[in-house]
Amino acid sequence: MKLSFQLLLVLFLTMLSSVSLLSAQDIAITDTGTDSVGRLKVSLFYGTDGDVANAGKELKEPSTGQLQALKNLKAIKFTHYRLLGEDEQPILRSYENWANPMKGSKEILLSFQPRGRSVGDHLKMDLEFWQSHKKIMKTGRTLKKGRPLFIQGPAWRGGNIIIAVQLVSLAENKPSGEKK
Amino acid sequence: MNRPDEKTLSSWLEGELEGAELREIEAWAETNAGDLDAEFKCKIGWDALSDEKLASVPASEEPPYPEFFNSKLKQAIMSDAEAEVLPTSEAESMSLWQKVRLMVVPAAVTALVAFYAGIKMADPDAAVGRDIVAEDIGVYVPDGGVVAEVSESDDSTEIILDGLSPISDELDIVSGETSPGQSPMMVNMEEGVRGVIFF
Repeated sequence: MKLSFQLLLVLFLTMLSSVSLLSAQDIAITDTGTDSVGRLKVSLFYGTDGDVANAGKELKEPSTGQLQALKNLKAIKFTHYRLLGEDEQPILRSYENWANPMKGSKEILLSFQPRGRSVGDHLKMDLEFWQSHKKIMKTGRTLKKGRPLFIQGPAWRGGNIIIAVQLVSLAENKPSGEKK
Repeated sequence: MNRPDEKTLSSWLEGELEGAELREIEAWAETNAGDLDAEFKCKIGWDALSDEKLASVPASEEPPYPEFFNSKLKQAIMSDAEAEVLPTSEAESMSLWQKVRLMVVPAAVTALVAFYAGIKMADPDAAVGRDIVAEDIGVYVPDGGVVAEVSESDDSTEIILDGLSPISDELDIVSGETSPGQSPMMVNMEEGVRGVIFF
C-alpha cells in the first residue's frame, strides 16, 4: 500500500515537473522582445534662412503644429522650413529599431531602443543619429509624449537638416505572461 | 640397523639428530614402525589413561529436571528459528522501503526545482529582471571635432551638433540618393539578432 502511494507520488511529481517545463518552454519560445511598447515618429526638416527652394521645389511645408513647434525652438532658429520626410515606427521592446524618414535615401537614419518600461508618459531610450553610414551622435534620454527632441544636423544646400523625434504613443504596461 | 639405544631415540624424538645419524634412524623407524608404536604406547600410557577417564564417565545421564530442561531447549530452538526467519523478511521489506524513499526524495526535490524553474521561466519579467533604471546619459559624439550643445525647455529638448561634415550639395537626398557605403541598418540588424536586451 505504502509502495503504491509512493510510486503514485513519484509519478505525480514527475508529471507536474514535465508540465511545468513544457509550459515554460512554450512561453519562452514566444519572443516578448517583439512586443511594441509604443510608437515613435521621426520627422526630417530642412531649415534655412536663405532660399528654401534650394532643397527642392516639390517639398512640402511642415504642418501647422510642426511649424509652430519649430518656431518655438530657442536654439534652433531658421526662417524657412520644409518637410523632407517622416517615419513612424513601433518601439519594439527588446530590439534595436530604425527610422528612415527619407524613404528613398538612407543618408540620415535614426536608431532607437527602449531602456526599460515606460513610466507614465515617459520612456527612456537610446537614440543614435547616423549620417552617411556613420554614427554621429548617441544619447540616452527620457522622451515624453508631447515633448519632442530636436537635433540640428549637418549643413546642406545653404541650410541645415533638422531631426525631430517625438513619442507618439505608449502601450500600457501589461501584466507578466499576458499575450500581446 | 639394530634397534637404537634409548638416548638416540630420545634425541630423534626431540628433533636433535642430523645428517647420517638422522637418516639411519628414520630408515629403521620405517621398517620397525609397529614395534615403535607398541613401545611408545606402553611407555607413555595415553591409552590407559584415556581408558581410565572414559570408564569414569557414564554413557548417558538424565538431567536433573528433564521436562523443564526440554521445554527450555525447545523455546531456545524456536526463538533461534524465528530470529533466523523474521529479520530476513523485515530486512528485505525495509530495504525496499528505503529504496523507495531514496527514489522519492530526489524525485520530489527535482520536481519541485523543475516546477519552480518552470514558473520562473514562464515569467520573463521575473527571469530577466526589472526595469532598467538608468540615468539619462548625455550626448556622445564619436567624432572629436563635433560639439553637441543641449538646451532644455518645457516644450522640447534641442541638441545642436556643430562641426559635422556637411552633406554634399550634389547629393539629392530628396530624390533618394545616398552616399556610397554599407547601410548601418543592415549591419546592425544582423548584429541585433545576437545582441537582444531584455528588460
